[in-house]
Amino acid sequence: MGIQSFLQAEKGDPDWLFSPDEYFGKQFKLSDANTVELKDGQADSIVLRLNPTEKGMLAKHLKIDVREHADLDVIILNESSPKLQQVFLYDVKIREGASLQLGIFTKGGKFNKHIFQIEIEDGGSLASYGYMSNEDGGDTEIITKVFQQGAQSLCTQLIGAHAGEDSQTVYQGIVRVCPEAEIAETSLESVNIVTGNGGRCYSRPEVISDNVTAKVQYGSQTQCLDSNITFYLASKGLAPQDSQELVLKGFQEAIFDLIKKDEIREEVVQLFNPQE
Amino acid sequence: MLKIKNLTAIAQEQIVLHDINLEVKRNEIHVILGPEKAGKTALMYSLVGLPYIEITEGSIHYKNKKINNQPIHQRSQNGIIGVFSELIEVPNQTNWSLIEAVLKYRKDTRDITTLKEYYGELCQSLGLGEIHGYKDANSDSMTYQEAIKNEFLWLLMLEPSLALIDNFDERLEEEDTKIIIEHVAKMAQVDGRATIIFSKDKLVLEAVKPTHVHVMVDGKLILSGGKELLQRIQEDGYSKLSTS
Repeated sequence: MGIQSFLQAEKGDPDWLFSPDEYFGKQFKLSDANTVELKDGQADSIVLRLNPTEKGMLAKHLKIDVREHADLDVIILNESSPKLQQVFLYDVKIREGASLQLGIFTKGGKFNKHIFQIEIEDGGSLASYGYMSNEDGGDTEIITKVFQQGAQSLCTQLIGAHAGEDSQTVYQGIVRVCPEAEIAETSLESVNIVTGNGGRCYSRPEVISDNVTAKVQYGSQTQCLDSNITFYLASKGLAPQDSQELVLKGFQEAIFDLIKKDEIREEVVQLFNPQE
Repeated sequence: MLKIKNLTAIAQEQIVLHDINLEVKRNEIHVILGPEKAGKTALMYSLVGLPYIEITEGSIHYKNKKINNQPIHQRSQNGIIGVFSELIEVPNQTNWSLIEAVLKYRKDTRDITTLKEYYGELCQSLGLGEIHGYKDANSDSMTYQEAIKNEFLWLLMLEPSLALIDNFDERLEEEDTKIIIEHVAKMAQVDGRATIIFSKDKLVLEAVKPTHVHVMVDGKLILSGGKELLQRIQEDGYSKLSTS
């Protein structure tokens, strides 16, 4: 494992799994591990605010275990300063009949990476959504690797990304629909917007299905706030920064509207639009 | 309201406007006629402030202030509004949400509920349909007719002091052209407003009842006068006028 495996994952190897102990042990200082464990049949809602301030490179390993028929709503909020380098690894297990709504909202960082390894058992359901933004000249990444093992399991993902000037975002979503996953459903969608010169949104949704009864779909689209739009809106009276704000807000809304709780949605809006 | 003096401009290293002089006062409707590539769009862009045109000589004064270097959005906020014949798609907005947001950014003090009602009435009178406001803003799902009407909708909503209207008559059905002309004529009659219409279609402009008519050929305003010029163009064509 270690860095070699990491590179394999970057290439989209579906059989690869992170070994956090080895990976973090060799590459990063291992920070404290957090465990979120929900008992059978329970329902809960959790907000994880991950705003580390360590000056060195940081790695964090979190585990989320959703027990049989439990229903968990998790929202991860993360903001990183332009100098910070951080990697978060999330090991997630969705057990039989359980459902997880997982939101990830991450902003900034020199290098800010969130890696999700998710296993879904029979009848398990994952509805994940998120938004990442980098305008720091750095690299913000969301990598998801889902093993859809169970029959009638469901996996949906909608990830939005925004790259500003000379900044980069990376979304890599791999779902492996295993042979046992009869009548499973999978949908991956990635939407991106580039608003500055040298900005780049790398996007790679991928589904590998080993079951013919599974319904799968995936797609990605990227748009640019180009000078034509800026000039057009300027002719209606908007300054260039207002045009960017307007287009970005519209882009964000489609994803932010998926957040059920008003106060959390407001917190997310503030995270990405602090002037409001 | 508008004074253009000895204006010369280039685009892609070619002279597109040559020594233009023009004065437009309140309550005047000017039409600038000319064949293709006469420089009409270049003149409109230079007034709006689009950077595709570089002014090399001369000046543009608007409301007694030189605006050669004034950014586009400031000109717009000061009342210079253009109607473009090219469709620019604005992502992640509906037609109404875009107008609503723009009005907010412009710090428009008019009552938004009243404006929304007015917007609905305009959609209807322009033949855009009731759901126009809910459609994606300027999306390519719009027909050319809808896109042009949508631009006029903007113009009417923003209530300009100086309205600049680029060739809108191309590819329009007769019925749509009629509807737009009615709105333009009505808009141009509003007290205190000035309007410049750039076109190469004489028939459309006859209906707008201009106070001044100019002929533009090869980046120059070669002739100015009244409505009688329309007749001369119809009879003689641009080429004869440019050599006379």
